[in-house]
Amino acid sequence: MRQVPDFDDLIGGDVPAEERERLRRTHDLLVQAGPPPELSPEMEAVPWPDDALAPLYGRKRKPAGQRRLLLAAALATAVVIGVLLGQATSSSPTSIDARRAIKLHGTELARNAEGTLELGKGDRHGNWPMVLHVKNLKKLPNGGYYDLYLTRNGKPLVLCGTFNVDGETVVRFTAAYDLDRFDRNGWVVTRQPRGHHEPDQIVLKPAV
Amino acid sequence: MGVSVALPGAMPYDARRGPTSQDALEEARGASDGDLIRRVARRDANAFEALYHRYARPVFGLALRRLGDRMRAEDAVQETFAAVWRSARTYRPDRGAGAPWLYAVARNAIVDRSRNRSSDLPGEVPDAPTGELGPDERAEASYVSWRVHRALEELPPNERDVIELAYYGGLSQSEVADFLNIPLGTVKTRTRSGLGRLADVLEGELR
Repeated sequence: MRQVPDFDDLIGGDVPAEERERLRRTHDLLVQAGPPPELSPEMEAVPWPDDALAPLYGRKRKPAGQRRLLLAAALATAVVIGVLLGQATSSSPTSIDARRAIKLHGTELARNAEGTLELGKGDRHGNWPMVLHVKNLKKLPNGGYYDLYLTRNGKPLVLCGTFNVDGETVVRFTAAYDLDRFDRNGWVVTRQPRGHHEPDQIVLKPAV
Repeated sequence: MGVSVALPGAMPYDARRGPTSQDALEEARGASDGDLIRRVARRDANAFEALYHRYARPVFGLALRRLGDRMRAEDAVQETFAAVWRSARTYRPDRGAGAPWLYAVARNAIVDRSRNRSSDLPGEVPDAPTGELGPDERAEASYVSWRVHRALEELPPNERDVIELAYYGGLSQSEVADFLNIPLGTVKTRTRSGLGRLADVLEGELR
């Protein structure tokens, strides 16, 4: 059962009675409402209606049943391809032919964290394989997760992927962007606590 | 050590907006619900995006409670915002604020999805087992959640974080301070400020 925070502990004792009552009503509503649901990463993107911006930006989602079928087919295909690739080569999915390695260090939000982003060679379509190694990042509670962003002028601008970690992990990503349009070595990792969607909590950034 | 594969993320903002439209989006984020709906009626993409970010979680929460299935609830969210886009012209500010209108649009989309579910899966148990809340109580509870979740979206991120971690993350004030790496006093200040701001939004009619 969800633990309800103690109102008096939250507010302290120096609040005038009228304001205290007002805040108490809000407290009760927060408890009554329960937690807002977490949106999946897919839902972070605006679902542009087909007749609005679909030709450029939107995509019509398949009906749920069809999506499940497609997902199952995609998973089966991925397994087959994975097996075939595994037989054909001994390299791991997190091993790439790195052309550049960017050292990342923890910010004040995660002082002990560190990481390395290896950037592979882009294919002819403009897809850049990347492998991110991170250490000393703690698991985020209640559905929180980490994002990898590309930056421009030091600000996180485009999302390259999402991951979870409890201490240490290696994650493979693909960036489908023209890297020349972003900061050189401009990758940062942000943490996204439950319900927080802005990329403003940078935990790893490039070493200067 | 875990190994996973992640997919590429969203498209860059500037791929679909002009150089000045980031300002327009910021401006839209400060507008009232009613203003945004009227602008959506005029096919303002920034207004639609702002409305989505403001209401995605409340709509998803409502759908999840009603449908009990994340995938169907996600579809209902998409249908809701498609309906908002289609029917924004029918919004009449003189008949009420934007939030109740959006609630009605969402509820209709979710009910439609629920009916589809009934026809898809005959014999499935209803989503309100006998002995639990009646229809009126459920509607009331749903609307409270809707308003509160909507109001949470109004908070500055630093206040929303401490409120959600305290109320829904099960963390004590000290644990919130530790988690966010900020002083305990700051947590208390933000909590109180956030509750006050929520009270302002909730006690006034949602615009």
